[in-house]
Amino acid sequence: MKGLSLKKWLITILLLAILLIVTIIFCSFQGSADIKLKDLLEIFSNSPGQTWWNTKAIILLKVRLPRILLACMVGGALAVSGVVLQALLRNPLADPYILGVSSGSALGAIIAILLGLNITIGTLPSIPLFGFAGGLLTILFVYHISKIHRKISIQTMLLVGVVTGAILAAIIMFITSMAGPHKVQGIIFWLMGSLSSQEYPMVAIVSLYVIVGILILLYYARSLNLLVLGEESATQLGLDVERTKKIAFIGASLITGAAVSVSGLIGFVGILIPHLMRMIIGSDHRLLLPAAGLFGGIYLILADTLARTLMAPTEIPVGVITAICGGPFFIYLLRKKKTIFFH
Amino acid sequence: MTLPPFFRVKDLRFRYDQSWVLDGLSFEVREGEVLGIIGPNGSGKTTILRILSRVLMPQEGEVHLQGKNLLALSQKEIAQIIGVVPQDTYFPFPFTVGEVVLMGRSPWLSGFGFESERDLQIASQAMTLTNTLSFSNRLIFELSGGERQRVIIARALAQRSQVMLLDEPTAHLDIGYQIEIYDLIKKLNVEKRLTLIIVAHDLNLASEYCDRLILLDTGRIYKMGSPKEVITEENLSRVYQSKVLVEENPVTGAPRVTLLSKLMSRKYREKKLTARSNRIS
Repeated sequence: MKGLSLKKWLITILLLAILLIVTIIFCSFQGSADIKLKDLLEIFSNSPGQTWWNTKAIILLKVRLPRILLACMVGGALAVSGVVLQALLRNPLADPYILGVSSGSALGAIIAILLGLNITIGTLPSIPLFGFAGGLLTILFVYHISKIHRKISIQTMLLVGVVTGAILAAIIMFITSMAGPHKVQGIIFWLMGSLSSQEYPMVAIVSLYVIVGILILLYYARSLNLLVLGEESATQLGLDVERTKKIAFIGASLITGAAVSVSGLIGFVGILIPHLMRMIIGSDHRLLLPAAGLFGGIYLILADTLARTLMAPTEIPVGVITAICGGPFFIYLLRKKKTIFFH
Repeated sequence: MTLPPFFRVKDLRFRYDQSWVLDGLSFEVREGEVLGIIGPNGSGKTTILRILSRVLMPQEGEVHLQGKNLLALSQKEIAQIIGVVPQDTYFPFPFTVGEVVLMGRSPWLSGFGFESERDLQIASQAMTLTNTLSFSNRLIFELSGGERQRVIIARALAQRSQVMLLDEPTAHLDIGYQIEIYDLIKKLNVEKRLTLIIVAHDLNLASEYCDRLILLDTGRIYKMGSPKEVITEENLSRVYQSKVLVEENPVTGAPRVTLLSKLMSRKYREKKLTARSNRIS
């Protein structure tokens, strides 16, 4: 009999990390402006000053790279959040948006768009800040309502989350219907999700935040395995179930909130990647969680690259790509590996 | 020197909300015995197992495990001593049999924790004993009910626990699997000196395999003792509110219960009557 050895874990993670780096490099050179790998050498060997240097370096380092890094973080956050929430709710249909946090973030961001607010902290723009605040408030609300006798009830949490999400979505719809045509366009584009126009400070903060969040969740990966057995069995195997639930919910929600605040509602990554990785590497969360994180990053980078290059200079919303490419593939896998889902 | 009893339960009272589900229970479990808990639906059988494994805390009364108050132990320490086999486990995701059995090692691991060679060895042994090693790489929900239950027993064995609590372990299994599971746990009891506490639905299996029985009636112990003392027509008809026939199993000598339906016994009487009247005429 084989267990999960450190060697198998390291090899899998390393392979995915290499794949991620290759994807980042490859996608940096895709786009309407023709920049080749050899230009990179010149960018670094020549001194700045020449016009062509400036244009290419700016496109590569200031436009494409931050966008790719952001896609990596958002994709990773959504995939990990999906894995964790599916385990917590013991439900294969769960995704990062199921507990209403995303709607809270969306409402926060939309209020910022609508009011044309310009409250910033340092160089951080107001829309993501408001988005994150909205997500945070929703987390607190859902968490406190779900607590009965100092314990979180998973069933209650699921229902409260879904209902809270529905209420917030209704408010968003109301606001959108009342807003002027110019603002409506802004709101709708934000809701569809986009990874463009975030600058390095924002990318850096989101990266730090998401990476720390994922590492904390990773520490609890073995506990998530037990949680999948149900609370009673998990307790009888020695798990502190209440603490695990709390960390899983808050951790997954916080990284979801961060991802949504900077990128809007990008669908499908958070449900497709967890299932896909489970089919490939199995259900052990110690391997599944980090693998899903890395692969979520790869997937969203590729999807976003297609979104900005397929019909350039027009951009396709990235959520359209994630669903249209991922959906059929997912259905194909479902048909091929039936036993995994129907039992 | 006499050992303290494995479990000592004293004046236990528990309620979920309004009414007491367990209303003043006291009993002891001796090391190495097979104790069966029987009683009608809603008499509190499963609740006792939940309290013994500290999934639930009683409002009144005390539980001592090997001389220590259960409340003084951590959940992990409890899981190192007590293994639990539930009625059925739902797996929403495709874990392999080996992964499920290895989860039994978690009371001995901490944090992110990879299993060591020794953990793998212990899990392999548990799977050999339960005859599940051959399908360690298959997915848990590809198995039949009986195979799955053997895997869950292997998981409890991998905990290296000294007592196993089983909650109607054969509830969803057909007769072949029922005997297989009971033979298996009895073998573990004899060979590994594993103390067993079994909540049993099937009175005949309980009568055959248990050293002692507790008959519960609405949260109280109605009768406690050997199967011969507990499984009697009088006790059962009182607690279960139905007619039964108790006789001796000709093979093993244990009491054997036959359910008597009111409708069918009337039919039987009528048949007998007509047979007699035919003879007379």
